[in-house]
Amino acid sequence: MRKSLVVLSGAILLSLIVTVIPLATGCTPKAAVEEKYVTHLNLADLTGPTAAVHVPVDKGASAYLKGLNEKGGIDGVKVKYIVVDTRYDTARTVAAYQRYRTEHKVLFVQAPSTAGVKALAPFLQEDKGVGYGPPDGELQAFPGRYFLMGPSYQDGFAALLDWIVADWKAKGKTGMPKVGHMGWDNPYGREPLRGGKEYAEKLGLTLLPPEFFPAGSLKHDVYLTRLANAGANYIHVGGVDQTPTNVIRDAQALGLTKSIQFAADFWGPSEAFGVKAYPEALEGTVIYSYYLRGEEARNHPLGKLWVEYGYGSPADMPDPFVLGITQALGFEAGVRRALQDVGYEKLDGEAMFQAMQKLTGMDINKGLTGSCAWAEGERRASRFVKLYQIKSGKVVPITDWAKAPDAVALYKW
Amino acid sequence: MNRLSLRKAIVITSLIMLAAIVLQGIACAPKAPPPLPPAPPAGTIAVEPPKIDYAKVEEMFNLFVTVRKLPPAAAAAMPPCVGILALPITFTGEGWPADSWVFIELVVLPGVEIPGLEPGADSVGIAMGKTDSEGRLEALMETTAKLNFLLRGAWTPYFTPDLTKADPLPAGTYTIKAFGTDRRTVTTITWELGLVPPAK
Repeated sequence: MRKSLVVLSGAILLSLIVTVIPLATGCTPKAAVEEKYVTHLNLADLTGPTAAVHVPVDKGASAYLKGLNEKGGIDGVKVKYIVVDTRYDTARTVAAYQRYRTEHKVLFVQAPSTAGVKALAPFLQEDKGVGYGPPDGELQAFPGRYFLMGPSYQDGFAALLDWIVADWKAKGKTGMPKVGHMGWDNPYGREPLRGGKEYAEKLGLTLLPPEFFPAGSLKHDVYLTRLANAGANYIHVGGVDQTPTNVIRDAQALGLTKSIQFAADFWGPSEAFGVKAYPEALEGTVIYSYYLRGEEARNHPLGKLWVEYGYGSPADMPDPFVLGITQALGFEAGVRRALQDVGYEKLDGEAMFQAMQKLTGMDINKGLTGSCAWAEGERRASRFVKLYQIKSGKVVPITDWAKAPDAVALYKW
Repeated sequence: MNRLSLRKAIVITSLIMLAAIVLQGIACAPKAPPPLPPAPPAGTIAVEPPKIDYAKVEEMFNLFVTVRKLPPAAAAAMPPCVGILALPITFTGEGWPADSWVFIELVVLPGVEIPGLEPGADSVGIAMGKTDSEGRLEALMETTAKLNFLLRGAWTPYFTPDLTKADPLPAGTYTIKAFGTDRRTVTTITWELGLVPPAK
């Protein structure tokens, strides 16, 4: 009798345990807590025509994000950094996006080219994603889901024009100088003039008929001679290093660097590439930039990641390395703000898009660029540029950060 | 409590336990995701030319040299497969959703490496196009795609291809996949490529 009661009581107790415990724990016998992470997709060009810029950019982003993850991520959220080598190919860029768009919380898509950005735009719109790419003015004129990595090309060119006027006057010259523009015969090559031309007119400068040459030209004598014969006092050379280096090398061979001041854009000569190859030809060349360059970049605490991650000696650091760091910093700032706004569970492309527009005025790039300009209706990462000059084989600053004119607004889109 | 009632109690209790376990199994089972809506139907795809043989590549190379006015020494430094750059390659199709994007990918043969292709990926995007209001597609294969993926070419630091270093895909029958924006919408065809001299 007593034994039976014990058996019965035990059976009832066991049934209670089996019934109640899972209910109390909400049916959640999960094996392990899932790691919180977000995805940063970099559709880079690592072996194609613009690899000279994209490889150091990738190294900068990769180094910074690795360090960020080692410190626990962004408020406990780790970053999965996916890099795809698109070789500057638009179809490959979009195909790669299609392949990776369903990865976990893809919050940021870096595209390698203006054409790639424009091809991806409808997909990002549909997916409510966030893009990041080259500073093409059209993306500011028609703000969508793409954020520019700096001020636009035309804004930078306009800042150079301001400097040209000041330089001309400082030299005691009267009237206004004549300015020539040379660039690749493609949309990027023409972009500075879409608003830059109007800004030159506003300043009263004479902008000579531009000279466009095929990307990959090895000699530029014909174009240079035409501009020189037209009376150019200043020549602005577009193109990714080493194109501007080669153009100015040819100008020196023609004897033009003695009488004409040459200048290059955001992708102009770097100490590690063009300047190293032709220091004498490039002496005196002015470069406008929205990110620190030369020794300023190498001496910045984040520039030192180049050496810390074993990429080489400080002298080998191409300037675009710090551009990659700013890419990662922009991403980090956006995610951090989005986490504050909506929390991890609701963190998606739309939350990131909204958050990116709330970083206005912040020093998200820790001094590597001017303050952040992203805002509602504003897609330029920063409005500030700095001018550098090549002196004795070094890229040295000749101005502080200055707000670039809004040349995008001057163009009739 | 007599012996019979005890046995009854044990049986009843066991049944309750069993029922509890089964019910929990049902309640706590991972919920299946809601079924996806059916994928839009895939259209057709065709490539022109459907077969590229080495004789055609050589013929196009001669045209390429003439049009580009290449000096004999420069032409001699290039492999004839570069002629593919002068050959228009077009993908056409119909029956796709209207006003939608179609992506063309080349499936890589086993053991063949393509620069830029990430580990584990078995196909590479080579063209894309948007259908018209009738669901018809026409997409051109761009020069960069030919250079990067058919010729596996190298680039100079001057934004220009180094045509002397073309390393064309091995000859063979390749599969072309055409996807809609929903990757379940897919159709395939084969494409014969002979960018290298035929084996003797």
